Amino acid sequence: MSKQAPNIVIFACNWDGLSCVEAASQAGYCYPASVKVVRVSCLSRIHQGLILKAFELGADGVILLGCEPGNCHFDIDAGLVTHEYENTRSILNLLGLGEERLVIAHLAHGDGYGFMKQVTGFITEVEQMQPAIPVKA
Amino acid sequence: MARGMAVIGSSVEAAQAALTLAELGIEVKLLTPSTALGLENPISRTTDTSSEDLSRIWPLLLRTASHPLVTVHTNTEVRTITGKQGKFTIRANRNPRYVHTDLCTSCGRCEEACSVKVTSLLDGQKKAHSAIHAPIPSSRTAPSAYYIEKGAIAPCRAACPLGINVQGFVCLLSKGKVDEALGLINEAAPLAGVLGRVCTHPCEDNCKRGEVDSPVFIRALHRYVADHATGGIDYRLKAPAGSRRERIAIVGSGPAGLAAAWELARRGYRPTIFESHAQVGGMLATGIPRFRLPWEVRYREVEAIKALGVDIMTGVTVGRDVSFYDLMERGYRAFFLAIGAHQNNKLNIPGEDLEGVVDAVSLLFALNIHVGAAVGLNVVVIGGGNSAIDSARTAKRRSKGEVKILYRRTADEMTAVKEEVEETINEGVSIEYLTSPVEILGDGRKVTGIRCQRMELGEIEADGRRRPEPIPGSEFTIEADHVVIAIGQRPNVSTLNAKWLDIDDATGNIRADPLTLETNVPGVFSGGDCVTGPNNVVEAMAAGLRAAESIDRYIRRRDLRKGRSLEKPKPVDFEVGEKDISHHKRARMPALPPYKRRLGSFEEVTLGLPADAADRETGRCLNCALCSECLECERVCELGAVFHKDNAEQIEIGAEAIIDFESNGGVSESKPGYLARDTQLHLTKPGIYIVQTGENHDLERELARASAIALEAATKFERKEEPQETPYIAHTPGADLARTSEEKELSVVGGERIGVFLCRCGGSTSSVIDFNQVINEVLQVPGICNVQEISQACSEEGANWIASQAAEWKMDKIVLAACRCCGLDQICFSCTERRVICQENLSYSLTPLNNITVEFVNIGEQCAKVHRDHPEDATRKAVDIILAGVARVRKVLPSIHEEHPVEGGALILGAGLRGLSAARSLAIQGYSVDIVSGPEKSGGREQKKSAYRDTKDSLLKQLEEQGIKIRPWPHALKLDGPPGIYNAELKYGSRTSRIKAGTVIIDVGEREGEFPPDSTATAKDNLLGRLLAPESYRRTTGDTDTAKLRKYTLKETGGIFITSRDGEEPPEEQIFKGAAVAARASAYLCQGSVSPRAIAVTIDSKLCRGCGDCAAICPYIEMKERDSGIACAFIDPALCLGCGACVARCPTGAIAQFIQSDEQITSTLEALLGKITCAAGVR
Amino acid sequence: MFDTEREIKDTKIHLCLDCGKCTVVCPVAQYEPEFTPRLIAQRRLRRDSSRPHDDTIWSCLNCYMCVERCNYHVKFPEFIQILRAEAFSEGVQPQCSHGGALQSLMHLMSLEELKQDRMGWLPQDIELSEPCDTIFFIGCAPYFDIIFGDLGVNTLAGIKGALRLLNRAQIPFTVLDNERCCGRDLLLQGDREGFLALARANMEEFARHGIKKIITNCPEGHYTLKVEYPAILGNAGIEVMHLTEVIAPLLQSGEMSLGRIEKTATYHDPCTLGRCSRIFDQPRQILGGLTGLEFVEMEESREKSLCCGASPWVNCGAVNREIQKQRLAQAEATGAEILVTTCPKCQIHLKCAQKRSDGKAPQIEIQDLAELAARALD
Repeated sequence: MSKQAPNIVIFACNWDGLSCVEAASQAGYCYPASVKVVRVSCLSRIHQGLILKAFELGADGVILLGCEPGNCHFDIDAGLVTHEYENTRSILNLLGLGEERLVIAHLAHGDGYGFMKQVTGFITEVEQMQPAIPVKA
Repeated sequence: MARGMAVIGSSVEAAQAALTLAELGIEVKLLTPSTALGLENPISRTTDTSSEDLSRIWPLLLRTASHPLVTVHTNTEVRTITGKQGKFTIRANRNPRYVHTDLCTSCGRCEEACSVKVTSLLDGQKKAHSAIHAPIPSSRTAPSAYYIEKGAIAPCRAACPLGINVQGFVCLLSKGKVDEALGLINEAAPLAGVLGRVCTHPCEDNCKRGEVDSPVFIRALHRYVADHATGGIDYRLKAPAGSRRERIAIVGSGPAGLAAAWELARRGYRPTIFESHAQVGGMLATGIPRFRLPWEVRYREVEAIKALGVDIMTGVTVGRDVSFYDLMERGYRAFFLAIGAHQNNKLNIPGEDLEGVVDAVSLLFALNIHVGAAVGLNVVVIGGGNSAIDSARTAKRRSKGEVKILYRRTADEMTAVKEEVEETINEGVSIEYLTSPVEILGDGRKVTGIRCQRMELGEIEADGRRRPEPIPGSEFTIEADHVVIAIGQRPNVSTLNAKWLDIDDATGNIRADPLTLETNVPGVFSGGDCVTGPNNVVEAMAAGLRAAESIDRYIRRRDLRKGRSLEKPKPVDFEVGEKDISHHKRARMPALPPYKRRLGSFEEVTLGLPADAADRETGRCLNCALCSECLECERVCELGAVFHKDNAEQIEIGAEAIIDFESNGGVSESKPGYLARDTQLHLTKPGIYIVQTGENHDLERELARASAIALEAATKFERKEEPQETPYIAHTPGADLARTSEEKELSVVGGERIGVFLCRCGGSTSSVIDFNQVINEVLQVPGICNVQEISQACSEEGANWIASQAAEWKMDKIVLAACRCCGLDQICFSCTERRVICQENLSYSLTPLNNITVEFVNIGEQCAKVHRDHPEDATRKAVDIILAGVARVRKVLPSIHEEHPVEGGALILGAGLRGLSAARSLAIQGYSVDIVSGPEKSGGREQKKSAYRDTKDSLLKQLEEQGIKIRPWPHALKLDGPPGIYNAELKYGSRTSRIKAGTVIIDVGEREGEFPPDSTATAKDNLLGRLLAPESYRRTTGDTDTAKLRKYTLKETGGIFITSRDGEEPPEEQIFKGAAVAARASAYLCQGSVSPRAIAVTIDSKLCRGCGDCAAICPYIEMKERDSGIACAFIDPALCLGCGACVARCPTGAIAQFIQSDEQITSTLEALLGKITCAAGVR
Repeated sequence: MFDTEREIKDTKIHLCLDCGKCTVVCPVAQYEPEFTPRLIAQRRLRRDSSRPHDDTIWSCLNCYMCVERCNYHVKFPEFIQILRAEAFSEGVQPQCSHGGALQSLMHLMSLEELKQDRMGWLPQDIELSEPCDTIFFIGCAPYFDIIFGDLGVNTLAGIKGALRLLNRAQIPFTVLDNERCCGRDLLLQGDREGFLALARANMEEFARHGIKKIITNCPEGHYTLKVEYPAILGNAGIEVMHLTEVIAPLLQSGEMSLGRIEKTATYHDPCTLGRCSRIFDQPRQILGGLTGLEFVEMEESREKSLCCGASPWVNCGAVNREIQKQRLAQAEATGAEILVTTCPKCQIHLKCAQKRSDGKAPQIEIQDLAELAARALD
């Protein structure tokens, strides 16, 4: 993949998470095409394996985008995701990739602006990280 | 015709009420004056709820709008309701929206093309948006269709005798669309180059910008358009050329004749113009000097008119060379006499016959046409009109001496166009005001001078000007060798030789009906200067157009008058103050420097605005009428959704009963009974429920109330059929089309045939994404049998096309790249109306094939829209997104979703007010109801407020009347069984009773023990216990506002309803909430059968290690013991909501979601991260 | 890339007499009747290329029990590895446990330019000799302890114990901060490419540091480095020893001694250390070196030791749980307080099996041998 734009994978929950993505689109925002959104039913569907898979496949950064605590559509405790998130961050640290490559964002639903802020801020941060994730041939 | 019920209102509550009814199987017409649901006031566009609330209840609005039993009538204002219960007729006005709600995909292309920016107050902020826009700009609504904000017409347009859409063409020009601007002008009238030069511009005189500083320089812009359009003149026909055979004769090729011929030709006729001169154009050729209107301009436009199929015979004087009789003999069916006014008025003073005294018409004709004509050294022009000015300026160009104008009034009264007067002075012509000739002096043969007298202005005359009166003794003499009399003309009807024609003796004008222009002879029409006396070009052209209309009607034997009026359209009321106004001053028209206008030069004086000045000038327009009707939106809409011709219409809607949320007054009588009192529900007469809008109540309460009212109304509603016979069948999601595992295997082994469809979305996606490249790349993937582009996937035609192509190409799997992002039968916050419609149409179209798996990917909002700045990246990503869909559709697991019935009534656990209210509502509907409740704690009653006690006693009494008793809480209570056919086992000592129930309502809201909290502990090994002990699951309590609203907005239920604990709540509130729960329970019961969600999980017992991690987070998962003693997780898929948390927790992968497997997510990642390439196929 | 038929020949599978003894001893076959080694062999040898892959191949535990019993020592586990590699290369993948996290981790670890930061746990008191051509190969313990933290797994305690034992034994060594996973699980799962990448990365790292000798605590790392790496990349002349092979002789010779632990313990032979590497005595010798420790053998031990039900992080279901349950029952039957093993994966699997929603599983303490022995150092 090209060096210029980091590959960002966003695991967005179908509810508030995706609503932010859609709201950003509705509000006319633009973001780089290297930002890829993967829709899941709920952020609690995501586990370490999938996050690591994203990195394995060449993601430079991953955002977990979900509902604000207490607003989960399924009433799932946000702690479940936090657990996966923290474990994966520890693994990223051990791998020397840096825990900063994985962030979790709980946005109020329909917050297109918040989403854009999160994405652009994260891209800048990932761009500055050294070394970038080496890509397997 | 009356079937179903009507709900009137635009509020969220109205939507909730309509949805409740629909879910109970009742057909609902939802009438709203607004442009979309949930917006209270479309004019000020303030919403009744905050936009945050609005987006939170979005799924509710969408579910209402897209429910197959709900028909939404937007922009509809109810006028009257007549009839009686069971047979009401609602008469309503449907106001124009100008956009077809069923075609518009809200893709936004029209918005981009719209040249008008309007500022509105949205959410308290001033925001600029286009005149065509979504009901709430940049926000989602249901219906999502756009609408056009139109005022009346702009003053400039209203003032134009030709009705040219001035604001429209100025708008188009402001966007640089010169050709489109010319097209728009030419919709109304021809001769743009002529009008842009010589029009007397009533538009500018009425321009609102004049109130700010000075009017927009419209004429200059008109000319700019005519001079700079690159596409040539392309007059659009209204009917095929030559489609009308009737012959029409037009006498005179002046502006009136040309306009009439042009319009008739556009209507399919082939009219003939007879012109006595060799030059075509009448006054345009002979009267207006070439330096004002160059011949080339006239020539070009006359040629364009001829090209439409107009024959022009020059040098033929009708009446002299050919008689009317001859023409009738030759088949001419109608005549338009537009001979102009070419005969000069006389001064009627001595000396008018002297040599050297000429009239303006002859002078102009001579100088314009005959280049060599001589002019004296001392020319005096008498008059103050345009012909005087033109004569003076023309003479100046030919005279080596002086040119002078005598005018009997002052500059203010001159009828000539001001700018031209200025130019005349610039060119060295002097004007003597307040001077009138008394006698023309001569040497017996030739003119030598003029005796004049000074005038002063006296009283105001009938024409509004002050009468000039001679000042006694002021006479004086001026020298002159050439006197031009330019004091007006009259028609010369004598050449017509038409004695039968009615002529006004005083003026010499032909008498014609002012509206129809018909003369005293049927079939003979007349207009222009020969009817009005000398006038201007634009009025003459207007008469020509009017005549064409009359002639067309005459020939078609239609009423000449019907629907016509001379009244000018009423311009929009417009407050200049509201506008953001550009600071630019009116442009100045560049002109030839005076030295260039020297002797003999007939070069055009004005040069036309340069591009930058024209651009600035367009920006001065205030867009008084909002929508300018430039029709660009209509042009860019590939789907034909925009139509400016939309008209208000009267509609009639039948309904058996009506719930009205709109009218707040006029309540005549209250309905007796409990609910009515507490819901502020009133009946004007049986069958009409009028609901008063609550003030500042929280949304949850309002929704509960709306549900309660709808349920109440539904109870009274007499269904034509039993609800069981017309169940609302949930649409089978595309991805959920069941296949047996054998079939599945066959298709895998036998090779796949995957079809990919790309939706252009009316051009909004295809204008960013290079579809050709996408198609080329995707086609290389093995297994893809066809990639096709479609215009609109969400239309019925789109869905049918996909179905037919699927059959033709024998596709077994389809990837639809449009705006939909999932194949689920769910409506989430991100879903849109078009996505729902797309799903519905496609499931419907594909039903007969039934073994096709569909995967949806979003290349609109999630690609084209957000990457529109980088089309190449967007194209690349679109390929990746589609490949992700292809990879996923390959891996859809076979689903084993079976339906099972919903049977029986309701079991209500806990007899709080909510429980009792729910019980009552369900019982009234005829469902069997069982209530189980613990004893009230001793002393509990006394602590309660009396209102609570009264309410409860009343409810208990009503239930008792229904024969419903409350069973005591058993020693052990067990709830089991699949959803819809629950089994409750109640153990009372040695006795056990069993209750079968389709739905279970649990009222945990009572504090004093109707629902014994300790009893839940004993029941942990069954569903009830697990549901009631949420603390032991990793789940949140769900007390947030979103959680409370969720039950109204989302249809997520396994038939078990828990009404949550709340603090101090007034009794009536609890009644609503109980009834609202009952409404949801009824909707569940009336489905008839349920099947699991497509996203529900299944558990592979072979892979399950029995660790219990899943059951620890999900109350629906039960750990069962196997023979070996190892536990195994079990779930009834019908209960599963599909969050997938258990899937993520399972260490072995034993739990799978059919359409969201790890494998599918991984494939998505692979594709999105470019690991699946087209050339190499899928790894 | 590899010659399947030749490799199959090398496993001596054609010598199979169809006697079924392997099935009798196979722990999987005990609970999963569809799993019969000899039928798998037959199906593969008579394979019709149009038939789908045999999906029972993913159930084999690679425990080598069958090899032990087979009269011809047919290398059935290796045969299975070939079949898996074959299937894997054709895109058929097993059901990964833990959401594939371990597989992704292994792939990420094979990235060439990776600079891991994995030594944060290293205690201050451990003495490393630098430079040194002997290393202690840590293995995946730092990662395991994060991923399996929920199970209360502490495999690093075993590593720390091993390092303390080496310090006490005054054996100079160092550790590499960028060693990768040995890759055994990828190899067993059929992902040869992934395995090769890791093997190369490790061998390059060893070469860069001039490593001559490697001591491991992880039996899998030991076997992989010692046997698989030379087989695939050629002999680099590196001596690979298991910790027990280093420590046991010292205890035997009296050069080193351990302290007292008043416990009853039993020892679980990891298949890879036992039946593959034939290291049965050394661990027992170390346990024997602990004063006060009462050692009891389980019903099935040494060559007959029952597998922990492990797998290369794939297809780990009810059958595996049954085997684990059986093993834990055997351990419990001995009356031991501690179940000692040397393999982090055995520890993980058995601890996982102890976790049960109703809490009825045998709760015997499970410890790494090195951890236990190091406890007796002070």
